[in-house]
Amino acid sequence: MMECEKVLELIPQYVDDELDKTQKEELEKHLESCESCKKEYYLQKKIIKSLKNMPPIELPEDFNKKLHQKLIYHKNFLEKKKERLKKTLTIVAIATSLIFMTVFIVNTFNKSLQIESNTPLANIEMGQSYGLPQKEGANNERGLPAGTSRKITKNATISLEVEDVNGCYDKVFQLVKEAEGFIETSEETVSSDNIKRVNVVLKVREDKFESVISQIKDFGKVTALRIDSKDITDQYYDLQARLKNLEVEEQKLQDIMNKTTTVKEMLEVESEINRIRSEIESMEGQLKLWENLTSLATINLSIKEIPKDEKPLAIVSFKGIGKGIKEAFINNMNFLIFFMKKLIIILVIILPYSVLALIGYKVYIYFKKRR
Amino acid sequence: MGREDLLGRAKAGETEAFEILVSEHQKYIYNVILKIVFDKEEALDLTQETLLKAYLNIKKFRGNSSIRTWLYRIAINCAIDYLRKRNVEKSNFKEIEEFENEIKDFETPEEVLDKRLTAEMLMREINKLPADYKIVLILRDIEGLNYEEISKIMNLNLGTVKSRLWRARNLLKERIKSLSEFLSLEERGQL
Repeated sequence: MMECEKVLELIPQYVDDELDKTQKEELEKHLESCESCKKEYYLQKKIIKSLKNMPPIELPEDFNKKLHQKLIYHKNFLEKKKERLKKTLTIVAIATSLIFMTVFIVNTFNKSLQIESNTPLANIEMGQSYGLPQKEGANNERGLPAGTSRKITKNATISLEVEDVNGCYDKVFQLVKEAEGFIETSEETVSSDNIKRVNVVLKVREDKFESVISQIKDFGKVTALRIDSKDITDQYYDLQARLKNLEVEEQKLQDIMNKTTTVKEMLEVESEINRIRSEIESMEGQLKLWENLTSLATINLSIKEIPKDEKPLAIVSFKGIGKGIKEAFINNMNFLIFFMKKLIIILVIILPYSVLALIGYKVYIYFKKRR
Repeated sequence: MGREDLLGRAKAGETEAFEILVSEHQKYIYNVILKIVFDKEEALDLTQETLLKAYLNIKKFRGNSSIRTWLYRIAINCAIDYLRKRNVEKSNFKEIEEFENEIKDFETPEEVLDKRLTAEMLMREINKLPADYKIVLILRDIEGLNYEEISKIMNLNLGTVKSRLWRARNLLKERIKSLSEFLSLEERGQL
């Protein structure tokens, strides 16, 4: 026989018909004999029945309208948000790719600049070195007395590599003739590995110097170029002045010579005149030399033959492209990491200020809201 | 138009399709929420919130359960969240006042009064049950959902659902028994 307490516990399940057969039978037996439990059972049944029969409360009529508005509002909001996100993403993407591109371009440009400046004969350098004397000469002319000009000696050393040494030599010869110069020395050697080499010393007119050099440069591959210039204006005019003084002195001594009466006097004056004469002659020789040096510039030209198999065919091959790409890639990556490092440092530097700015902004919003 | 088609269009963000899809459920969702939170205005707001959440998350609805179960689940969660918030705020008095006013509105014919009184009384007592019991009882005995659905909605296993339901029923019965209104009803021989 079941106890009332147990029965009460099982009633809800009995209502749902969830009890197994024996439990059900026992409970039914109990209910028949126990009036209070029976009452409980009817009450439970009644409660559940009234719960089931509770009519559903209808939604207000404007519910659908309100819902529709709400959904539309959120839909639009979502779409706007999406659009804004899209825009932001686009901007970020563009900015990122711009940064990458800038990094790439700057890096590549840097690289190529380095390569250019590493080649022994950069155009810029050449231009400077042989453009300089010309410019100086033109500018400094002003500081000199009228009727005088700058005296500058010019000297160039050029090494050329050509395929056809003899042809090049002929061209040089022609060029020198046109420049009213001459070939001072010429020397031809053939090395053990059958490479022909010609060394020539050219003299050309001082004002044709630059144009001759630039023409020679076009004959072949320039491997070395050196231009020297020396300003000897001061020494030249100094010597000229001294020469004049000596000539005046010589004239005076000649006058004295005419007035001498004794042989002893005559011999003394004569030896003095001879001394001055030789001095004058040596000075004149020096002046003459300088005259030559400044009116004729010297070019030491060395022409070397390029063997046929060393022709620049190899440059155009794909050999080493993999290595090149790899190097370029690693290089760019390194630069990128370097760039990122800098960026992080900048961000860290900015951080305190941005925190301040944020606080400022919050305070501003706070006061704006209060107002 | 097929249900699948509607669901697809609702997933694509079409509000009209979504509204049609939920139109047959929204009343019941409202009723469940109303019985849980026991406040008409709040229940309406929560129903709207439930449907909005459903609309925003419909893409996540995989069809593992029926739309109804899914909607109930969202509704129950909304209601539970609301109850938690309200319990923190401890402002239960307002609802009781409203409830008493409502009774007065239905004072006219005696039969209606008796019937209403019983329903309102039940509702009030249900509202006083612990939330876990209350929800199971509402879903099973008022809305008539089966155990499996309830276990899916509340994410509980069947045994727990059943034991909670029976416990809830007993609790409710004890509360009703102790009420003075009930005693007078009993005296009049209505039970």
